[in-house]
Order: sequence, then structure tokens, then C-alpha cells
Amino acid sequence: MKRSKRNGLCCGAGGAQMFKEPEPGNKEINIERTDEALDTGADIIAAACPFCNTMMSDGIKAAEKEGKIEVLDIAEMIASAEDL
Amino acid sequence: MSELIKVPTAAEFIAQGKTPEVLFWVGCSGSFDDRSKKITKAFVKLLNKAGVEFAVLGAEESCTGDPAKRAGNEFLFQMQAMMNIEVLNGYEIKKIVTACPHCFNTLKNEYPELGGNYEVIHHTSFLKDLIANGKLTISGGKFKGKKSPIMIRVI
Repeated sequence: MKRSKRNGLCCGAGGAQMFKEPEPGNKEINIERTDEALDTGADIIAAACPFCNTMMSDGIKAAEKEGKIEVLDIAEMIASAEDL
Repeated sequence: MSELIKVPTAAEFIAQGKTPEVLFWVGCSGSFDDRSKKITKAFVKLLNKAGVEFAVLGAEESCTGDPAKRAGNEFLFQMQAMMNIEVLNGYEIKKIVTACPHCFNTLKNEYPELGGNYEVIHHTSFLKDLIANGKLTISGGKFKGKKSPIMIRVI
């Protein structure tokens, strides 16, 4: 993704977008971020934060890609690799 | 729910005269949100599998105070933080691992000035070390290591 690491774009929950009305603008931040993730063509969006997980899952639902793209925590992916 | 997962509390450790190697700070999301509870379970299973002697605070864990501080309520933050610091210091906790970067930031960067000095580790770093030490592997399962193109969003 172009916006990553130090230039990473927030999913929105760091700005409390999970709990309050969206900031003024024409696009919700989690939709913007999810679109960037979908553009990579990945099947799985791996998150390392429960709030990112929720925001990205909501973005997937908005893009009607539920069931096609999974949002998983890194711990869940490793647990799956360990067959736990 | 039929599966039984071993999750000892810090109080149980103290009752046996032991201190846990690391404290797993679950956080509000991992405790109450149905989606995040699955992440908590996955992480605990990994800790058990790797043989890590960990404990949770259970009902003694309270909010870190992060939301209050971000919203500008410093007074509430300090009250919540000091309550947690009393509990953590009471159990002589030295090392904390958490699956939430918000808890991570508060525990690591904002607790020291209130008297809470701990080594705080995010669960991704902790899992990376377990994999590097050969206690966990990422070769099996659904994802087969690096087969799938994976996007990782870190904090």
C-alpha cells in the first residue's frame, strides 16, 4: 500500500470515528482506508488492533465484499497456522 | 461453548506463591466485543501452546484511561491509571503483553510518570519472538505461511 508505515492512513478509530459522528467531508475514513487495502488485491486484511479490525470489517461490508475478503488479527492467523 | 481454555489470573499465581512471567492485558475490546473476544482466545491458545507462564488480571483489570485522556479528561485518566498501577504493582508485575495498541501506548508511555514502570510489549512483537525462538510455527493451517498475499496494517 502506498500509504504505509510512517505515512500510514488511520482507519478512523484512533480519531474515535467508531464512537461518534463522522468528521465533515465527503468520504468516511474507514471506507477510504478499506478501498486502499482492496486495491492491493489481497484476500485477507491482517490487523494488529481490535479497533482497526472493526473499522476495516465495516469498510468491507460497505464495499459488499463480505465473505470474499477476510479481516483477521495476526494472532488468529498464527493460531490457524498452528491448527489451534 | 464447549471448549475449555486455561486462563489463570494473577491472584491465582500469588495464591500459589508464584509470579507470572508476563501479564496479558486484555483491554476493553478483547474483553467485551464479540469479534475481539475471538482474537483474545486465539492469542491465549498461542500462549498456552508456546508454554508461556502468563496471567490476566480478570475482574481486577480496569480501563487504562486512554479514552478519557484522549477526550481531555485528565482527572478521570489519572484516577483510572492509578487504580490499575496499584493493582499491577501489588502483583509485582514487570512485563505486560497486550493485543491492543491503544492500551500499549498508554501503559508504555503514560503510566511511568504515575509510578507504573513495566516492560510493555505488543502481541505482534511477542508472537514474533516466540516464532523466532521456535516455540510457534507458521507453516501449517489455512494460510500456509506466505502463500496468500497479505496486507498488514500495523497500529
